[in-house]
Amino acid sequence: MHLVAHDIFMEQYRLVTEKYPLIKTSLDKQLEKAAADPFNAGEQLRLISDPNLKQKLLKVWVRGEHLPKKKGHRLLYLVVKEKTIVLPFFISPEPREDFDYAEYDWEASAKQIYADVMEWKREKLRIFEPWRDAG
Amino acid sequence: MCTLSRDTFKRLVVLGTIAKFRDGVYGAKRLQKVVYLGTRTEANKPFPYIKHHYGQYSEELEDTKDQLLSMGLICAEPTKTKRGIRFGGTFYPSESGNIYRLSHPLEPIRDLFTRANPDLSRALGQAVELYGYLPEAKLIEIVYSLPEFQAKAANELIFSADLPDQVAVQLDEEECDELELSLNPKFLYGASLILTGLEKTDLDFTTLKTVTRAN
Repeated sequence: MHLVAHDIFMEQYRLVTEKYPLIKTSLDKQLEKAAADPFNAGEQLRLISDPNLKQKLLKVWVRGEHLPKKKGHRLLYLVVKEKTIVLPFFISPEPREDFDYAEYDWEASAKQIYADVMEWKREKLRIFEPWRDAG
Repeated sequence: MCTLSRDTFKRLVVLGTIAKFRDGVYGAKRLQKVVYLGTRTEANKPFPYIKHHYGQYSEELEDTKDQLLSMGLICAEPTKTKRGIRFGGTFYPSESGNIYRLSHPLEPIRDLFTRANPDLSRALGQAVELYGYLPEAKLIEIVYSLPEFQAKAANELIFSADLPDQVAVQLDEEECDELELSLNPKFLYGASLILTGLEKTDLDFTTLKTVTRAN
């Protein structure tokens, strides 16, 4: 599968890895796993009622070396098997315990991604493979 | 032990209360009254109530119920007759037209709510057993007779909600995280919208450029 990232996720990735450099290895590993085997790399949200969304929306913890056990950043991604794509759309900027989801504007970011995908704004999207970065 | 945002906790309270009914809640009015009776003496009240024409009423509870409907977490089915309900072989007169049921199996929600706040869960469970299946006229008679209701004028506040912004619950981090996402209408709307775009677009993603760095 191709891991496709929108500008919004790229900015989140940049900020979180700048603030917490020790998370990068773990985050890149999780992204690589999501691209290679998305349905086993993450977990579904059990309480979602829409069966289509429930099947294609996955969550995973990113546990960086800077974090104590049981703490982590939340990574969320969508999988569209027919188009061979995995789209990460959120990584919490702080460890989950220190971050309130209410602080994030889910609607605005989703509308932006939707519009850019529908309007074929290729410059806003790319196949992202940070695990291949040789440094 | 973790915390839930106030809004998520309120949604869990409504889901958890509906889950305590054996076969759904017969009417929004019944849900309003049972939550009132279950929370009126509790230390942390999730919903404010006013003295309404039809008795104790919480607009916040109504809004929360509507959000759960829009998220597909509960469903409303019309009763066979708008004039009454049949429960356990007995016919009860009722003016309300919908049965509210969870879209999910009851047990996981019951379990989460019970563990999240055992005292509130117990109080609401008792209210459901004591009042949840009464004929509507009898239920109304009981709530109208309460002294705090008698003492108020029309549209006057009976009690306010007093939950903190973050409510401590006896769940683990994974469970809190699941609830914060699954019971968040803005998140669900956003995730659905992105998925719709990915599924509908004719853009060939495989032709995008490949990068290995974010900057």
